[in-house]
Amino acid sequence: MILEQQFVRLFVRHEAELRAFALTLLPCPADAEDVIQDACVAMWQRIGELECEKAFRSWAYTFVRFTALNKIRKSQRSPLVYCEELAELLAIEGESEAERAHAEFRALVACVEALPDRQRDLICRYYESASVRMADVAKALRRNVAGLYKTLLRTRDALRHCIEQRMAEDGFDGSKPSH
Amino acid sequence: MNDNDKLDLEEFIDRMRGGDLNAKDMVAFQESLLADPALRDHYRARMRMESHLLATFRSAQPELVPPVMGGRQPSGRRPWWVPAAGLGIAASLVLAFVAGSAGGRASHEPVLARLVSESEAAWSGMVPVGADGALSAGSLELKSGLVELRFESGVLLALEAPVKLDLVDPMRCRLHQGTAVVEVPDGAEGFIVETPGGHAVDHGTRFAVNVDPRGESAEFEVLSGRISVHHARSGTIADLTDAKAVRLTEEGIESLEMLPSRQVDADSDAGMVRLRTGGKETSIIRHTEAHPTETLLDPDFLMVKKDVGNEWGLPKDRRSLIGFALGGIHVREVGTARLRLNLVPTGLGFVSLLPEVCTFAVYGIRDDAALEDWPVDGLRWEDAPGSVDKEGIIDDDEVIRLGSFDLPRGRTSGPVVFESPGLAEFIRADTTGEVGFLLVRETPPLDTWSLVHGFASSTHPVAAGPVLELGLEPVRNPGPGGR
Repeated sequence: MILEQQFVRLFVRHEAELRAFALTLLPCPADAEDVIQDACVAMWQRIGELECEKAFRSWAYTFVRFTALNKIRKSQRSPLVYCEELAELLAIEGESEAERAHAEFRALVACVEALPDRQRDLICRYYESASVRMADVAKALRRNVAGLYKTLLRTRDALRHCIEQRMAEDGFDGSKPSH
Repeated sequence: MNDNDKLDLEEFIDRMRGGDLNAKDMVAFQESLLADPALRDHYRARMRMESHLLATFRSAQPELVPPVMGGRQPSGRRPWWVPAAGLGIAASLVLAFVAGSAGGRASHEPVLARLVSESEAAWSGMVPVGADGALSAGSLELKSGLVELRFESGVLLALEAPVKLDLVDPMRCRLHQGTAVVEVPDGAEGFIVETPGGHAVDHGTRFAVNVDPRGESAEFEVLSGRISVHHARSGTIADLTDAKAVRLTEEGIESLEMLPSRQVDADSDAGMVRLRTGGKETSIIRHTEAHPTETLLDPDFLMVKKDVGNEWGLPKDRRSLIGFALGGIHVREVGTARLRLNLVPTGLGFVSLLPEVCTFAVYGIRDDAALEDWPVDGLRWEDAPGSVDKEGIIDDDEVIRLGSFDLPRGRTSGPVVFESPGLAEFIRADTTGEVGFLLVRETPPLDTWSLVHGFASSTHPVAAGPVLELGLEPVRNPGPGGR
């Protein structure tokens, strides 16, 4: 049995990876946001079922997975959701990458800091809100959309390289990392 | 996966954002994902990155801090963090990540400069400064005190109040009133200071400029190097080299005798000495043998953390040591002393796992050359002055507690000034010509994943390193019967 306060701490610790997991299953950011919100409320209502902190991660992933699959079932006519078969497959594969997702987020924060100002500014503009479209950024910067896709691609490649390097330096091997 | 495939995926993600993906495209993409495990691997990695970037930059929302971490909610009330109807989780869940300073800047205004240190600074009105000291284009009015700004071009500007200044771009500012000392490093030559009557172009140097309170004239004095002063109306240019001074007015440029009393030295005012570490600074980490210090410490930061460890790892407490050579200072003349530090985000750990206030203690390393001679590189926790073996206990035989300061949760950047009667007394008692300090966070976190506090070291790329500021008072000879 864990306390509400412990739950909050655990949720904070794992929020980034849970969000990433949800977005993998429901690629529309607004849908993924709904899933996280619903899953969080469901978890809160059933805190009593969580026996210890160590069990939190798999418990929370289960909530996110079921909430996402429910949403998918209800929205099968929408062109923005995957079929259940694919979602199940992505969920199984995604859950096995929980540690990695967690370590990636920690490394990403430092790697974003290290980006040159222009690249960071571009990333900041595009990710300030999930509703920002590439065309919006292109208009604001007076650049063409295709060029921006390429610039963002290069920037994300640089980030990915930095993340991998940092994770290797931190000795990431799939075991539980900590600060 | 080739670049074209990657671009297709990028476009898919962007269209998904806008909800304008059609069923045909979606089916085709799904079939590719189902059939190709390597594509799924790439897709999942890409979506994790997408989510992490959204989480990082969306923190342009105000940072949300739990108002009640201490206890259970009264029954029957909605828990404080549970979303209220109609609110998004990010707005109502008081669980937002703090993603270092990278995520904190809400503005799209380009950063022109950063506030690197301030001393007794009082500003007029709103200062366009971000949480990490970032300044965008705009006007500043400093009513009192001294501040240092570093432009993104590397130019360092020390401002002495009262000052009115516009930040124009990374290579240009406009001084309406007051005194500034400008230091232009290699590579930033061409920095321009506009003043009434014209402007000055810096060719790699250090110079002082003073605009009179009425904003009618400016005096330029070259402390070292060369500048050119341009008179706007006539186009006249005056080249100035070491120790030369001119006055620029609407009418023209006139030479000035450089009076000793007008010379500005950023590091020493009358009766005030500011000492820097000269690189004598380091951080140490507990259980050094269990952690690769090169990845958990960084020479740009003086890291401080009180840790509790967890089932997966030993506590990684961090402390910092700072040393100052007192040079030729007569320590008996030291009347006041302040240790100035600049708090900077380390990017390690979570603010939300800190108690509401953290207390930091400053210890003086006892006046013993053997204790004060600690190495800057490779210093192990157990060998550092003040540490007892691998425990977190302080060794009172080696250090003396001079006082403490508190920082509220959520504060991860900005200047910190430590001042205590014990500090000045400690310096006055020095006999070795060197003083050293041990910086310790005393407050334990709620969890091992809590924030690692960091203060800028002298190598930090943006913020200024530690400064020991000493107010000197001439010591009077004691009269008859005096002591």
